[in-house]
Amino acid sequence: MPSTFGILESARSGLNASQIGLNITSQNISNANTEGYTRQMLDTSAMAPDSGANRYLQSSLRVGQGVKINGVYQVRNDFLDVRYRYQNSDYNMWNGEKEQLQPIEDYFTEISDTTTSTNKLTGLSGQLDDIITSLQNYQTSPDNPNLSADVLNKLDMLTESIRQDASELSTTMSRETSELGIIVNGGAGDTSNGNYAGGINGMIKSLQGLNQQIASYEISGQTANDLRDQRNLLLDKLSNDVDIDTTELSNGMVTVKLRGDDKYLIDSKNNTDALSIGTDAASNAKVIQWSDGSTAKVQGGLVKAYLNVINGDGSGVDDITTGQCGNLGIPYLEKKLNDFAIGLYDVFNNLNDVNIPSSELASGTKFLTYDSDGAGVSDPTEGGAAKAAADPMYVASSIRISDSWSKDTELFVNSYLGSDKGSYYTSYANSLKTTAQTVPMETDGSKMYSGSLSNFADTFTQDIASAISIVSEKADWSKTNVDNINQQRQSISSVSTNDEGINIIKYQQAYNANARVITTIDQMLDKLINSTGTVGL
Amino acid sequence: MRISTTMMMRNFSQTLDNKLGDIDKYSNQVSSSRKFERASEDPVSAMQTIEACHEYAENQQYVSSDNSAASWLQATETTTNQINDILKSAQEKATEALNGTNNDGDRQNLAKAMESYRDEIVQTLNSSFSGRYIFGKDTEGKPPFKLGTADEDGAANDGKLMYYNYNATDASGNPAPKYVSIDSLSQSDLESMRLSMPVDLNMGLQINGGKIKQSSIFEASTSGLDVIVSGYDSTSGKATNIVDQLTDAVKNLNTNNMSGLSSILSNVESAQNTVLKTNVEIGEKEKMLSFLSSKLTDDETNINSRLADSLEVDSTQAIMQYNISQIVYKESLSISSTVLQQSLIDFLK
Repeated sequence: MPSTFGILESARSGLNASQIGLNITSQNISNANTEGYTRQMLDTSAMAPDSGANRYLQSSLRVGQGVKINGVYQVRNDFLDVRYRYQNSDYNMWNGEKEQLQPIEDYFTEISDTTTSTNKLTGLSGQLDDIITSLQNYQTSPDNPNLSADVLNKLDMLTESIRQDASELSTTMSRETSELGIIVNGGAGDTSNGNYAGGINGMIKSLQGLNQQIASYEISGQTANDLRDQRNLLLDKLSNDVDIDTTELSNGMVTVKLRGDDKYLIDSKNNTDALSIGTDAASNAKVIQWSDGSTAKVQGGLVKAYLNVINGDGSGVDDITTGQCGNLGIPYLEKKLNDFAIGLYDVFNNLNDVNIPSSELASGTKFLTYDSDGAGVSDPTEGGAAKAAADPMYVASSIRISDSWSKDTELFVNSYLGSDKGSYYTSYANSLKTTAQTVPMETDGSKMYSGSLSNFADTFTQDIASAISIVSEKADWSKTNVDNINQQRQSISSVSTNDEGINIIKYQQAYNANARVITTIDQMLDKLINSTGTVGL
Repeated sequence: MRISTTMMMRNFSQTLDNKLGDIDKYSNQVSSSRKFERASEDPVSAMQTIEACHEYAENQQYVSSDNSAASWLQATETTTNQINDILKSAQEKATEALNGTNNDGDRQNLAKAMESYRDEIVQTLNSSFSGRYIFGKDTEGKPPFKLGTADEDGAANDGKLMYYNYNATDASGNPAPKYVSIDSLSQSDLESMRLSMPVDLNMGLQINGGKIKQSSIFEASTSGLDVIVSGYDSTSGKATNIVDQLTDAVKNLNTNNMSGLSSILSNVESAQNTVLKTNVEIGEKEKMLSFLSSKLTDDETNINSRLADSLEVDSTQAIMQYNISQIVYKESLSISSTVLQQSLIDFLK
């Protein structure tokens, strides 16, 4: 026989469960818009009947003793988290690369102001067109000194543009490097004490702390739901920056490692490793390093995007161990701009060598010059590799019209004493635009551009545009994937007000019903205790 | 799939973002009439645009060269016509001079007239156009022709036509231009003294060893020597010209040397023929320029239409797209405000 007051106890457990259920519902609703919050649910089970001596009585009916509260659990799918972080790293890599290349594109673009009414290009190639037009104007009036000044001005503008582009590339390079530093180490802060103010290293420190807290909380058998939410959110954020692999251990801690590397950012003993930025000795590329100085093989996330832009040499060869990146990046453009400057230098100085008598100018006075143009070095490509190693834009960063030429705007026309000025200018115009003119790419001896200098200038826009177009397509594609996976995650984990509304009704009704049971039992007992045996009274 | 409130919120905000992005894109297209803002949005069209812009710039260069070459030729033609007119008057006076009934006074008057025609011819040969001598170079330098004087050029060159040889060099090969008397020049000397004004008119310009291949350009200049040299002396092979002949005629008239005067009429006629021959050549060149000019105009139209294809957006389509995107955006707005208005919570009592 069940005890007389057993039913009361069972109803009390129901009341209790409903109350806790309402409590959880309230927690869910209040956190409906909290970033990273996972909805929680009540885990209950039916309590088994009394296991006392009555167990072996065959005649006795046994009923359970009410509801048992097992705990509060999170509705979350761990596999989706892993898939989300993979895709998120990819997306951030492509999108980051796109966003960093776009300002460079804007700087080199030829068609920023082009409309069908102006038909004009605005970049290096557009300025070459201007110079050719000025030179062509000479054909019919080669003796006009104003036109000579015009050519000099246009050429001066072009060399200035080259110098500006060169300085813009250097500025972008140093900006990218310092931004990468902030992503890895965070902002200000004394990193020597491991006191990171943010960044990847800071996040790892925070994760280490959370791991510790969760493990000590869960030792008692409860789940640290809200701490886990915090940790998951932090891991999602970490996956923006680098491609990570996470594994949860039985004690509730997670290990974090780079997807393509064996080393752990947080290992199974909850020890952390800090990342730093270094330079690879072999490839001279910027790399992310572990604290022991070996290269961290980062293959995704914003960090990889920065590495691609900082190291991209356009060679098409990627090497994850030396940090070489074969895509289009700043080093590629630096080399290309320098080659363009060398091409221009060659075209103008070679023609001057032919036509200007040495008596007119001090021997070796070139029309165009650059800073490291030491005495006696007539060819900018002599020892080009060594010069390029010291400064990749050794010609581009300082190319200009030499002082003795630029002092006198009429020198360009007056110094020429050959038989025919018209031919002289026509030759210039022709050299700039015919396909016979080759642009040596001496800093990389294996390559030779066989188009005209003018076409070579076009390839800046062309190269950057195709590179951006490719990464932006990849970014769009991975964005769709990230969104889909996130949608699935949200579908499982996020709070729905309708669900919670139903929960309110559910738990309220259950509470009422349990209360009703108690009232009924109360009346039953009242009848039993106070009215039994009072027949006829 | 379970749909939560946050999911719907997120989806709606993303949808609205996309719709706004469309509106932004189409309104940009409508206002700038361009298909794309950045080259990376459409690399192929961007490259076609750049290519067309280059061709346009080149075409404009040729158009402007064609125009200036044409006006230069016109100026040249005017000069040769003037010389022709002077020669016509000279012809009348020459006919008069051969008339045996002239007295001394008549002959002196005729001599004066011949002398002034001669001076006019020299002056006309030195005409200039836009800062350049038609038959020479820069107007700030020496004029291409002058009449020799005994003081400057020696008695032998007195009254002779002299030409400034721009191409002359000194012993070491440095340029040393100087005046030479035309009657000292042979046919090959004349060739070496030619001036060139090469105009690149898209005839496949070629340059060999720093020299322009003559057949690959349009030659705008006319040699003054071609205009004035009317023949070569049958014995010495040296060039003859009407200025020298007029000087002789003046001397002969003043000394009443009728036998020396006999050839003057034929000389003037052959000078006229030479000038007319040059005129025909100039006319041929002008015809060619006007043909090229109409071809260049056709090219320009083609280039512009190609540019429009690659760069320009179809404005009707762009405006339609813009309006549609506006409507879609409004619809999304109205839906999002009604759908998310209420939840179960609103109906709990």
